[in-house]
Amino acid sequence: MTIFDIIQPIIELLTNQNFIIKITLVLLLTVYTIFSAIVARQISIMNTLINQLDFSAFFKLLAWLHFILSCVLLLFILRVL
Amino acid sequence: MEKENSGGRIIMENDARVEETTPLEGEFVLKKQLKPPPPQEEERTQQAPPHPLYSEPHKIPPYKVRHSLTPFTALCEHPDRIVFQHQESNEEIILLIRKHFITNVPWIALTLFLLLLPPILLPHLSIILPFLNVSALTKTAATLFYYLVLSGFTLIEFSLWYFHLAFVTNKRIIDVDITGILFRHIAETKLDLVQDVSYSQYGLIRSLFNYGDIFIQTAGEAPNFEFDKAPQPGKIIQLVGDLVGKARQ
Repeated sequence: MTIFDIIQPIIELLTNQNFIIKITLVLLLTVYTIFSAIVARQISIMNTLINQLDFSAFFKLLAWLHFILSCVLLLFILRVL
Repeated sequence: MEKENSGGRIIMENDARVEETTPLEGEFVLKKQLKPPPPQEEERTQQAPPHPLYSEPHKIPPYKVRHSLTPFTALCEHPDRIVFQHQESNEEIILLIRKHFITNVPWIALTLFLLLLPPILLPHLSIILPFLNVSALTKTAATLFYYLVLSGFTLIEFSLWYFHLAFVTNKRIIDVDITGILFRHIAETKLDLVQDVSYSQYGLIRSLFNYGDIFIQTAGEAPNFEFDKAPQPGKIIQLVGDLVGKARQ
C-alpha cells in the first residue's frame, strides 16, 4: 500500500460536496441546538419573572418547540444524509 | 362694575380690596386698588382650582391608555392578567410599558425578506452557483436549517421586545432591561424616592408615532431609570408624577 492509496479516499471525500455540506450542517446544528436549549431555558425563566397568564405558557411552548425542532433536524441530518 | 352706596361713595365691585378713606364733603374720591395680600400657605393649597382633567383632586385622571393586554401591547394601564416575581399581595400594577411596537418593524421586515429569499433563489441556484453539485436531500436539509435559524431569530427578537419592559405599581417602579437573550438587568425604586420625571422626543418617526425616552431621576444610589422608546411619553410622565405625589403624601 502506497501513500497515494491512503490519501486517495480522503481526497475523494473532501471533494464530495454532499459530505462537506453534511459535516458543516452537523457542526452548525450541534452548536445551534445547544444555543436553542439556552434560549428556551432563558425564555422559561423570563416568563416566570413576568407571567402574562394568557400568553406565557404558549410562549414557553414555542421556545421548547424550537429546541425540539433543532434536535429533530440534527437527527435527520445524521441519519438520512 | 360700580355701584353707589348710601353714602354717595363709589365702590368697585370686584374681588380686589378698596382703600376706604373718609372724603371731604362733596368730594368724590377715586378708589385706589390695592394688591391683595399674598394668601397663606394653607389658603393657597385649599383654594387652588383642580386641573380640568381631574374630576377630584389626587384622583387618577382618565387617561386614554389601553386596558386590554395582548402579547403585542406596548402600553397598558391597570393590566389585569399579568403578575411578576416578588409582587407583593397588596401591590397593584398600574402601568405596563414596553417599547412602541413600531420599533419592531426593522426586524419584522428583515424576517419577511429572508423568508422569501429561498423560494426566489433556489430555482436559480444552478445559475448562481454553477459549481455546486449536491443532492436534493442535502438542499432540503440546508433549507430546513435556514428556516430553523430564521425562526430562532424571530423568537429572540420578539423576546427582546417582550421582556424589555417597565412596571409602575402603586409602590414602586421596576425596570427590566434585556439587551441580549443572555443579558438582563432589573432595577427598582420606590415611588417616594423619585425626584424628577422627564422625557425627550426627537425625530420624525418618534413624533409621528408619538414615542420617546422617559428619564426618571431617583434619590437612591441606583442609577436613573430610563424607559426607551415608550409610547405616549407625555401621558406616562403625567401618571407617574401623579403617583409619586400620592406616594409622598
